Amino acid sequence: MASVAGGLHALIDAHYEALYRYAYHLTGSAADAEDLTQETFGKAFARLNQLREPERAKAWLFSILRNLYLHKIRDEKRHRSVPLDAVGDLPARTEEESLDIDPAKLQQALDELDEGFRTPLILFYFEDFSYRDIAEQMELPIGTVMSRLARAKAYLRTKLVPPGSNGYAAAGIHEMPDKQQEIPDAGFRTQGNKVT
Amino acid sequence: MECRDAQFYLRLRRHTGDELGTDVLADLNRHLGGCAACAADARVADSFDRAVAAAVGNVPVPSGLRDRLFAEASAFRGGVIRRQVYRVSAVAASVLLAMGIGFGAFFATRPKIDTNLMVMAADQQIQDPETLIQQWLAYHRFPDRLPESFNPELLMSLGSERLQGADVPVAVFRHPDGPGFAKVYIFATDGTVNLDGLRVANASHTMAQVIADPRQYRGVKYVIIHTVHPVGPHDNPLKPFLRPGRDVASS
Repeated sequence: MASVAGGLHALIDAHYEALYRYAYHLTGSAADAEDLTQETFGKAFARLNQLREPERAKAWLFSILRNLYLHKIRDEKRHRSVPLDAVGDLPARTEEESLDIDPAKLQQALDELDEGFRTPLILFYFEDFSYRDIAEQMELPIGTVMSRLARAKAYLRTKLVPPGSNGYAAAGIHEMPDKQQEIPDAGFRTQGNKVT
Repeated sequence: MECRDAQFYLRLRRHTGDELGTDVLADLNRHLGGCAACAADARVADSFDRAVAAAVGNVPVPSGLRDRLFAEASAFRGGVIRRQVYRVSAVAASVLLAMGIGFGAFFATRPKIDTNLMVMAADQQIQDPETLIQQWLAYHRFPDRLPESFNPELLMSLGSERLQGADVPVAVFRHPDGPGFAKVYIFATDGTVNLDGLRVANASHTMAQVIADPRQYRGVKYVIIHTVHPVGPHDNPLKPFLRPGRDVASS
């Protein structure tokens, strides 16, 4: 049993901080994030035999956490989100400068997003997760994930970059064409990804 | 690549890896090289992404969380141990129960030896040996009488003998006046034993007779091994073992 204990402790040490941060950005609450992290590990311990590829432990744990979170918000039905159609004109581009984003404002902006947009955004910024990983976790086609990411990032910019500071050119960024048009095939064919 | 596409891909481009694919990235970079506006947007996008990534990672983790998770792991491990103990205990209990049932069945069904029954059977052999022989024949489902008129008073034993790999029922009679015996072996003709080798045989002191008459003795064949004693030229060689006055061969 010593090896089991050692394995569990190693699993915790390797992933609990990232999981907590993920949970925090999903829930917007430190207390909820802590509960969610503990529940995630509890569930993971019980299902440890399902983890066939140890190198995929992080993605597996994140997937468990997200499912728990979805279960919670489905029960509570409390989360309010803004439709991304509300994304207005982006701030006009100015000269490049170093941005310093207030974590509280970031969280506030994330909280306003629907989970379907928030999750890929958070996972994108963790940078350990590829588009394929995100797509697998969300059980979505990779093209859909990329489309959502693009829209969510645009929304984030409207919330975090004050008018008159850095930003994209107003022309066209928020005007998302339909999915087939917005994601040209070429980029996906080179990666062998399935586009739906 | 148009500015519109470039703007889209700028939002998907990452610092790590080239998940957009080399073709798309090459097109994008080519466009950025020739379009000052999009190039400026690219720098802003990079700056924005770095700032957001830093903010995403800038969440303090509660100091006690690790300890609480470790405690949970320990509790889980304890639960695993308990479950294993329960499982082993359950298996052990099942084995003991099965053994108990097995021993119980064994002890309940094993033959019970009782000397009272033994002496009663011995008494019957002395008092009414003829009935004893009939009961023994009936028990084996053999014809209700032996092939010769053996004298029941000479009966020594009724039982079976391990004979060339087969357990064969046998009735043993003694000679009335001294050493000597006649053994009546009874073979069922049901195919369980190969009886092709049954034939009359002689040795220096004994001889074997075979009695096999399917019309008279259905389902069996008899082999009588007996010691040889002096008898008259027309007498049955089994005469010493037969009832008085029944000394003529019956077959």
